[in-house]
Amino acid sequence: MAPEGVIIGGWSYVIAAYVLVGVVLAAYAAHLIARTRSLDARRRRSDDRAETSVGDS
Amino acid sequence: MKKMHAFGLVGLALIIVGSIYGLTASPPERHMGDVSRILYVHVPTAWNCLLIYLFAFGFAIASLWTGKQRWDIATTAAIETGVVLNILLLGTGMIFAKPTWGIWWDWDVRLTTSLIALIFYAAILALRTFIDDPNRRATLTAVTCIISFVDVPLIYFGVRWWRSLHQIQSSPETMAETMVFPMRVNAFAVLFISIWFMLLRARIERSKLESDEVVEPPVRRAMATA
Amino acid sequence: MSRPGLARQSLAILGKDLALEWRNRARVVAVVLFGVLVLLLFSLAFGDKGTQVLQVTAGGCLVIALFLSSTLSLQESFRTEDHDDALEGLLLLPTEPASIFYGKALANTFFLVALAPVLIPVTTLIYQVSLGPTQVLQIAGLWLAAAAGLAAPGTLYAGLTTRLKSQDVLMPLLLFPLEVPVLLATVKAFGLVFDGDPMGQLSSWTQLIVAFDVIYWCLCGVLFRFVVEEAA
Repeated sequence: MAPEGVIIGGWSYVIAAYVLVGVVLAAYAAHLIARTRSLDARRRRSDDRAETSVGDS
Repeated sequence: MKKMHAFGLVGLALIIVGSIYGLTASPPERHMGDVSRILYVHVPTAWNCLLIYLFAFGFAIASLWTGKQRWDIATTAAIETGVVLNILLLGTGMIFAKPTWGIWWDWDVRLTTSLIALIFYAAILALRTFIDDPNRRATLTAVTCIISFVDVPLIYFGVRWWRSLHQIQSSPETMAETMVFPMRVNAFAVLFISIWFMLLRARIERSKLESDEVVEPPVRRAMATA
Repeated sequence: MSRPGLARQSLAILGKDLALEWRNRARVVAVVLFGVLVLLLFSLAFGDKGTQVLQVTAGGCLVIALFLSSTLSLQESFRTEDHDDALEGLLLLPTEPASIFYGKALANTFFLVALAPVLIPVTTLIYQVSLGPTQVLQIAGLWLAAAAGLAAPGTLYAGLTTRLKSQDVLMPLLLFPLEVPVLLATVKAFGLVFDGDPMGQLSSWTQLIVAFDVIYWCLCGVLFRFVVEEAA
């Protein structure tokens, strides 16, 4: 790499970086929301079943 | 419940504004050209990754000190969010390294340090899945988290003595205002998104622990304070 | 009746662990043999590249042999306490938990240092490096410092993962990233001893290892209390 020269182009790298950030953040967010939903659903089901037995804290 | 999603929405809005500004309005840097635009996502993730690990360190101390479950939940949430940012930091760093240094990877101070930090914190998350007793799991998480956080600066200095190639950080004074702006906006964007992640993750951990509790009530930690 | 101080208590634990280990010498021999085996495997992996390559890699291979052997050695340090709730018995004694840590960490340091008289001569033979008397002393001192740096977090993590199903997987996973600063500094220092030290950098690397030792021994000693209270 010439020290004086400007790096020309490189837009593919820029786009790759932004896409990476977007995809990872979106994937993790989707994962979290999916797990929240499934846990909520399971808790609602077990609450319905154990309405009378277990006292709430 | 709905309130926590506000963090995500604000973060999303900010990252869209910051990224569009960074990709279009901000001028290319003198030497690095357009490639410097990677820094508008790379540097904010790096800052926030460190910040989140600092949070995790604080939560871990609180968890060890009080023995309260909510601090363990907070520690776990922070560690996992930190790991996600750490992966992004390494990924964008490598993408930045290729056009500027000519190589994807170098055993440079910060690359090495952040890779080892990632292994550290991912190992803590792995460790948690092996332990069934919630009290013991909380202690192990807190202890390993504290040690890891203390060790990261040691690695940094160890590797810096070992070798160095990474460019010196720029301070806002040496940067043009048009370049500072997207960096700052994205830094806040990632911070808000990280807080949202932590809140969501903490909520998952809490309901997981609660569903465990129905099966077997945990022994309250009496010995820890004795 | 006055209680003995932290140092006396630690030494008592150290004596206990050394006595136990002495009655079961076969394991120490196995760990030493494993270290030799690692050195041999590395020399086989690099040996066909010529003696120069072997000489250059000698320091690094020696440190890796120490690291790999240490996991075998460290994991055992709490296994003896698993039987009959021995750890609980130790904690019920009027001792500081920190003294258990320092006693065990000293014992582990001792076991790791015990590898040196075998591994260092083997290295000089297989890797064809020649050491003068001063260099042997330098290596011995560095070995002691590196062993101490491994033993403190190693003891803490051994206590942390004791009685877990997958201790043998988790120990290296937790310990090795932590040891990276010690690894880098020791490899550099060994290299300087083996290849000569024209710039006089050896002392600064030694100081770095000692600084890591001090930090690890203090931090792990403080944290150990929480670990055993949960494990017992």
